[in-house]
Amino acid sequence: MSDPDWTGEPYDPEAAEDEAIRLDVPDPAPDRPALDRPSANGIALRWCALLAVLALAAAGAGGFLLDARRSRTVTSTVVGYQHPHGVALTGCPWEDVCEPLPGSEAGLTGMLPPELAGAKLLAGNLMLDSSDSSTIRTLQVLTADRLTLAVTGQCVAGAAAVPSRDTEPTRAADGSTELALVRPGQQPGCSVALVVRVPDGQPVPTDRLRRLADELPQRLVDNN
Amino acid sequence: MRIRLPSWSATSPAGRLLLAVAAILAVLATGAVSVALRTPPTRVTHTIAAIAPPTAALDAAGCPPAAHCLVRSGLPDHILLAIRQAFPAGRLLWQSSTVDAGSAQVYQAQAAATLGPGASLVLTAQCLPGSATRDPDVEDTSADQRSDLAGNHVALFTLRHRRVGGAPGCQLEMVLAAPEQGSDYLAGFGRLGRDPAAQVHR
Repeated sequence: MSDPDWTGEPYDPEAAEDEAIRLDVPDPAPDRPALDRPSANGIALRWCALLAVLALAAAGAGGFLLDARRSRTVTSTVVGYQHPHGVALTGCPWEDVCEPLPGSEAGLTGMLPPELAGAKLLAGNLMLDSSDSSTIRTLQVLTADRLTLAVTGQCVAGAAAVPSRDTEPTRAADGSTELALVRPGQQPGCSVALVVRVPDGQPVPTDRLRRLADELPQRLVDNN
Repeated sequence: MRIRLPSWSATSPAGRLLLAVAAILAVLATGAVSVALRTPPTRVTHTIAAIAPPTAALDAAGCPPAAHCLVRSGLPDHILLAIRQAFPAGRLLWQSSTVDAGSAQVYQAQAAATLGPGASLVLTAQCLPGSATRDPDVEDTSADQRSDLAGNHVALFTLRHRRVGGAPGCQLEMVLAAPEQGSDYLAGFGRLGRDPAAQVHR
């Protein structure tokens, strides 16, 4: 290549082509095999979508597994008795100490229906479970209107429900009549009994006694 | 054949977004599986608080729930005799027996007696048919006390409670209420408790 003659020679395109500077990047190693030459390329969109779907499925499966594990519950039932050793015939739990209180101190007459407010207390007591101060049994022997009444309330833990019933009147040798009216309490094992002795020659006030007996559970055993 | 290495910079924006989402989901899935495998199952324990084992009992009148009973004025002769022997000066205020209407078997005998000034005795003898249990004997005393000037405790009123087992399923329960220590009645109280005749079934 020589310097062009700016002054005298006319422009020759072919000569100019020959004289032009070539800017093509030469192949650095034309003889190198194509396999060895790395080339960069983007991940195809379809593969990205497939990966996302697979990850979504994996996340869903993981969530399902977590939920399944968390919601798997093992349920066991244990029966725990408040009085595991049982209850005596009187209603006192075996492992507890039951102590009596005198009827007058326990205010037993105050628990009776108003109809018996004027009755005279002959004898009575209250048996208390000292472990929890619950009333096990009450007994009051009263006289009212020439009748003699024994009012008993008791709760025996674990006992079955007591049926409501009235016994047939029985006549004693002295001509008096005796009958009992039993009423269940709200809790199984709780009941009250009204045992009445009617003197000879006096009619048995059956309806009045039944009304009285019906009132007793609420006052003696249901509020325990 | 040419090796085409994946290039982040050469991936389209939409592809990058999808890859980022996939990575986040993969991390979440790994975490969920890891936690799930380490999470023990939930244990739920239900405790049923029953009051007591099933108990056979008499009702408040002394009658078994399944029986047909009558109440009679008076006590079985042997119980009446036992009370009179223990407390000759006593006076019965109440006496009643609960018996089976068919067989006349006695289920309960109950008595209240006045023993002297301010002293009383309540006796309940019971038998539960078919029961083989024998309740343990119990004896306890409680007193209403005051302190005197010397600091001594003086009993004003004493309650003595005694429960004595008899034949299987039978027992006698007595409550003695007496002024002061009730010393005058202790001998009779002890004797009555030891007397098998005071039980419904000897």
